[in-house]
Amino acid sequence: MSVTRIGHRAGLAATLACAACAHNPAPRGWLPRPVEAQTSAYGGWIELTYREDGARRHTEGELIAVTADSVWVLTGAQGAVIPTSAIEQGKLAAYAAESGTMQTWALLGTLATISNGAFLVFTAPMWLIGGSLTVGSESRSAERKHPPLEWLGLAPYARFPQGMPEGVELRALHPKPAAGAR
Amino acid sequence: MNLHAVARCSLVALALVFPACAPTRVRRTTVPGSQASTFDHKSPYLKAHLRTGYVYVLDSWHLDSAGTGVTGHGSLLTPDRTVEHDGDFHLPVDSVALFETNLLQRSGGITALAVMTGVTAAVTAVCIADPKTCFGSCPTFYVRDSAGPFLHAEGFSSSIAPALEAVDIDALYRARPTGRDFHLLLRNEALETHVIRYADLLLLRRPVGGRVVQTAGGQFLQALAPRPPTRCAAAEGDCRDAVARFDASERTSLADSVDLATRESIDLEFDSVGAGDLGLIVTARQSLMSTYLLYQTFAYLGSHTSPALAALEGGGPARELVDGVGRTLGRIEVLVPDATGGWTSVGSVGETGPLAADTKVVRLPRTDAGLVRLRLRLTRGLWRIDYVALARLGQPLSALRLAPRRVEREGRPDAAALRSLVDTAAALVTLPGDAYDLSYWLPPHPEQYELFLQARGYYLEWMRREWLAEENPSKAAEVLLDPAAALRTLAPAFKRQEPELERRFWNSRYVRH
Repeated sequence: MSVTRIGHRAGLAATLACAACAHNPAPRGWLPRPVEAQTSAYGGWIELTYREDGARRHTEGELIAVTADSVWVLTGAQGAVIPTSAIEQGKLAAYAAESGTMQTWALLGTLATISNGAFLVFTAPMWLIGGSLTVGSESRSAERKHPPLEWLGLAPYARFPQGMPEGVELRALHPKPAAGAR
Repeated sequence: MNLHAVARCSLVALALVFPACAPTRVRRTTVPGSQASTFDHKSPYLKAHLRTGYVYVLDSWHLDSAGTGVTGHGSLLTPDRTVEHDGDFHLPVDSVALFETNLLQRSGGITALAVMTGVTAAVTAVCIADPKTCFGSCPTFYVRDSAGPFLHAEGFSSSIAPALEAVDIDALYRARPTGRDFHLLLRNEALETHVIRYADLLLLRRPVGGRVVQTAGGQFLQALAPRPPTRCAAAEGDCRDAVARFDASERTSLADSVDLATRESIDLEFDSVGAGDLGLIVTARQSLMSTYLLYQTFAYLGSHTSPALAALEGGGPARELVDGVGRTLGRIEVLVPDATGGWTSVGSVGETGPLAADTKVVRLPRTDAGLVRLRLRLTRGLWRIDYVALARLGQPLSALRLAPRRVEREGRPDAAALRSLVDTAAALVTLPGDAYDLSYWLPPHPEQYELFLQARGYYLEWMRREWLAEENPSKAAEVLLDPAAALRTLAPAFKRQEPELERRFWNSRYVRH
């Protein structure tokens, strides 16, 4: 197999692996890694598409609280309370999935098939297909979507999973610092 | 570092590094304070969310035996998530709105990647220990002439598995059709299962006084006025008679007794050559050196060969060795004199396999009319050169393709076999000892055509008893990991068997009685 073909296959593997990945909507470094998520007291990052005054709108930010009829989102220094009845879809990233490791693994796995001689025709597709599916699955592991999830299914990933506390003003809350905060 | 080395390093990284830094997932569970006894006690951290929006994050905690209170060390955070207090805490569970636990879990995808890594590593191990399983053998095609069937071609030699199905084109250079009914005898002479999609003839109109030849790149060219060398000088002396005609009288040499990769040179001269595009036609096949090296490698693998081959759907009595050995042994290089008094390579020929000689042309740089000097550089004892000629290269040609019109087996028409070779969705499957007569109906004046065989298919290898002998995996590995050294190590043993190899090889051919 020529270097060019190998390069093409590796490129294809990377493309497939990347194409299969879920898009992480949060700002870079905002989401905690899995080990940090154990102690983080902030909510996940949520994207909402909803209708207001007949127009389709979009908002995103930290999920503060969620009930069956409302979603509280902290967007920058502002807050928004959106009726769930107006929301068309929502996507939450609970933490930063570690799919990068798997992407590298899949890429190296594809590269390693060069040493398989002619049996590369079996092992390379195995890596291309299996690798991209696995990477895609991993990147979506930290993702929760409505639908199909009910809104209360997203509550554990809110800053206040118990619901919006009485006496707490959404506008008075500060957004999570860029990095280093719990 | 070459690609294979990169690949193996990647494999080592996969096997050793990645499992250690495998990604994790978070399993988060929340339970109301009133159900504190049900939450996951394996969680290293516990978050206690209060109705006020405050949250305790405890890193060492336990639920008291009565299930009414939680004690732990950590922080109390405000609704804005600033730290209100650090220290030890005791919380009545009824003051807590919700408990949250988080457990890290190893990603399920790790298992899938680990399995794929294992498969890749296993295949790599087999390919390192027995690279021959990564290449293969092929069916044989004969043309009958007055002297009986003559072996003209071996097909798709590297197609050792369905996914490696490939097209192979071989020159039927010695075929001289005398009528429009042309026959090819297709045989399976090895312990293999052959799957043949088609075996078609390619016809190209032969120029007057010339032939049609194929380049290594697959282009068909007119070869006008081919002429043998006026001088052929090798180590043994004059070799002109051996290479002047394609007549099975071959120029051969013996392998070096110290290093099987030792090269030799054959100097060629062609007098009074006119100007024009020139090409060197070479008809050659391999000796049994590569077959010997293959079988020796199988012998070194011994009992490890069978499981490996079985797991990989067969491998072949293939005549090629692994890439490394093949590269070390090399092909027949064609060299031309350069301006510094040395020689420069302009191409190479030489298909793997000791059975059928193949004819190819190497295009030469334009030179002035007069004497043309060329040099062939090849591994001693590896090649049998039947024919060498210089020709003026003419126009590229397109081929007329013919499928067989009739197939016979054991003297009887075999309509099913014919359908298998003509129907693109089917295939003819042959077993050891099978033989088919393929009949083609050539155009008028068939003597005006050059014939090539275009076959497509693949084959599956059967295990050989003799491969179980002389098990020595470290020596097998040496053949692949350091082929240059292995070719030196094996030289004395090969030299001891070299005189007998030919007879033993042909005696091992599978013939159905």
